Amino acid sequence: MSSSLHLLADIRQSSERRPFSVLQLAEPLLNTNSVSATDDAYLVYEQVFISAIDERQIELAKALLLLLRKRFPASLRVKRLYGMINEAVGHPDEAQSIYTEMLATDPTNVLASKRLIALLKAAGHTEEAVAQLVAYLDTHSNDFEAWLELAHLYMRNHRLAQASFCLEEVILQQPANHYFHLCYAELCYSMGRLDLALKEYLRVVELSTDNLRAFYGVKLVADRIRELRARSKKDPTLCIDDAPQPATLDRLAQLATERLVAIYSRANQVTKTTAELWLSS
Amino acid sequence: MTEHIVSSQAYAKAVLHCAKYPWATVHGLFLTEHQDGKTRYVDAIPLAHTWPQLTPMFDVAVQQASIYAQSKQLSIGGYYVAYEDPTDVQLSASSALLATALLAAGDRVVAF
Repeated sequence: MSSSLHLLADIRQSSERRPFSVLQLAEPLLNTNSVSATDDAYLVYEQVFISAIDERQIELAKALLLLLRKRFPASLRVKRLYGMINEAVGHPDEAQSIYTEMLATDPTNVLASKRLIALLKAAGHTEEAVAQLVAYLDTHSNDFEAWLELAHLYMRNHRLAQASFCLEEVILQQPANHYFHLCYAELCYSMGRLDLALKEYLRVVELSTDNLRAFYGVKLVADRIRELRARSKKDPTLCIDDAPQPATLDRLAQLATERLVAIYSRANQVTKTTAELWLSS
Repeated sequence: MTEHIVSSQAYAKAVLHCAKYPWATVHGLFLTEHQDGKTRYVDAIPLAHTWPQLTPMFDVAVQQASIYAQSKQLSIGGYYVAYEDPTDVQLSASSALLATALLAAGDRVVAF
């Protein structure tokens, strides 16, 4: 029994979304009523509630919600769960009014802000979601996950310049995470800022081992810059001013190719042959 | 009007790709062959479920998929995209850009 509780606590800690596992672990506990005596009882109820609405077990969710309401009658944290269950059964307007009420009582309530933004996003009102998220980030600008979410929303509307601004904020807060540099590099490439893309791809190479996408990126950018320099006409949409010397570019492309070959030597035959053909073209 | 025939393998791969990542926008390619005025969608290559608006990996993927397709006497005949928002059925600006890039790879390309 206690091992299940430990596992549930681990899942809470890592904030993974694993509704099926949570329900599997929790069901026997709830049926034998072994949870109510523990210290984390209400944390477990909240966790199982969220997993229950994820797996469309609305009756279970309602029962847990009543338990939580009885214990914490005036809690805003419980109120947001009411909002969530409304969203789950398809009453977005009720959910929206619950969250707006919560924000009227407490404008800095993080839970309500985030749920409201998620609601708007799920309903397809991207512009409104963006507006709400920008307002949230005015107060909570150190929430890098929110910046990441905003970047995602901007990219949905193909607003790459705004998205890259958001990624820059994320990188300022999380400079050692290579994934964000990778995303930023790809954004720069898509926007035509090839010199910056190259720098960022190299940063990813520096921060991680044998990162396939980074090496592809280095090779792509190096090849493209060489090709663009060879052309006499300048393309105004592409920025290569800060790019390194041709000799350096050659060596970078060579390095990238070597590492790609090394990585692909561990892959299956079809992938390997295709990659090798691409590399030699 | 060209008749389009979709093989169960192509269809299943595309649909399963969407099913595996219901919270994300997924996209991929279809490999096709043209015979007697009909287009047969033989196979699908799922591409990604993260950052579908960004171009570098897409470029690499299309180039490598072309190499693979040629080796099987097929061509890239289609591009599929399924958005995060299930009610969204219009091709978004970024998807349209990617699809247009595919036209450069071969004619008779259809976007789904």
